[in-house]
Amino acid sequence: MVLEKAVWEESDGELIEACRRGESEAFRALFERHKDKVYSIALRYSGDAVVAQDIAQETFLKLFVGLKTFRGDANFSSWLYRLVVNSCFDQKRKVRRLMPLMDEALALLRAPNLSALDEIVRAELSGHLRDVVASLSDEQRMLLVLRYTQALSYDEIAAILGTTHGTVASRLSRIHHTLERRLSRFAGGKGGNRG
Amino acid sequence: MAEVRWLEQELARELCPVTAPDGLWDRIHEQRRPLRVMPNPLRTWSIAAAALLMLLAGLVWRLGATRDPAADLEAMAARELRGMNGSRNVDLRSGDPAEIRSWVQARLGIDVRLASLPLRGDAEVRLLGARLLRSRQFAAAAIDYRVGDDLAVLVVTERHATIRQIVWSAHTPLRYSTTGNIALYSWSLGAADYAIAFGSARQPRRGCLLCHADLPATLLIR
Repeated sequence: MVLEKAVWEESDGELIEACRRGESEAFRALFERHKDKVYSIALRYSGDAVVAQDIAQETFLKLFVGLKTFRGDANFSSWLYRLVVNSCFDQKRKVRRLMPLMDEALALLRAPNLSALDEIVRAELSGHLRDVVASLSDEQRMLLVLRYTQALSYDEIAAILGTTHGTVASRLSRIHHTLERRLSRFAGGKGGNRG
Repeated sequence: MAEVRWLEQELARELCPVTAPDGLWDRIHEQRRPLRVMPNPLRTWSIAAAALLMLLAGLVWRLGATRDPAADLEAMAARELRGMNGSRNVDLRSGDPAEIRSWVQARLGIDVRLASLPLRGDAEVRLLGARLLRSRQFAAAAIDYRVGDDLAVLVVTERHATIRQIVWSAHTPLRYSTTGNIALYSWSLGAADYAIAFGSARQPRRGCLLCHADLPATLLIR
């Protein structure tokens, strides 16, 4: 489906109005604009591509249904984040371990000339980091996803999770300490063993 | 502070954003389509049957999609390693890397580049033999070996990937995990998928010596 250029150039607010009028292209444009964001959060939170698609599907269905009642003065982006965060938390299926799911091409482009040792150390670090992140609570994992997948500020995260800047800062600090402690041998090896 | 920065970089790398899959809109769009009431019972039954078929197809697709070939191969390698405790029959009993390489190539068409053995130094690598493995999904070869006192298995199979990925790809990023005291590495290289199960999660890098004889001895122990 090729969308009209004009549709792409419309703001979220204009697209929402068009959606309310039942214009199908507007739904598609809204989806295309935000699909990567929604899917990335779902994937990094769940660690499972199939579960992530379920979460993304549920999020967009809630979004399309909720557009009728969405208040135009509210922040659409925050609302969308809240929808996907709630969909993640609602996901009852047992999540599998957090996988890297890095695109192979990107990974190789990032590190085209790694030695065998570099690759081994990288794999070990990635594996341990995944395990540690996967062992965090749902709320802690979501904090990390919003911070590192979406690069949101503490204030933005606080608004999405319905808490304060200070709470976000202290929780993230605790998570960092936990991760540092459990990954200390890699941190120590940064200047030595990591080659 | 420097350590936190390092950690943040790793988190940003590990949790980086991704692109949504192509089929996502179709899933959502199908879900949004309103159901129409069909008064004709014959049509209703036809639709019910079609829906049931679609549901079954979806379940089959989902089972397939959930399967992770690398995880399957890692599980197979771990199983093989556990089976090595005690004597075990192998299809080819050999300590010769060239012989094992030819044997695997003849049966699977995969060229496994093993290091020239024996290695000098403390980390003595000894090949024990090779076997053919068959599962419902794929045929694989297992190469049994020891590094010092620790047992290890390298499992190799034809790559589960598209032609484009095979042609394009060199050595894909390693994946590492542990299960109990077993360290698992898996990766893809050319037209083959590989997994190593190594019997010491405390010093897992020694398992890589089978192919990477040049790893510095000081870096084998973390």
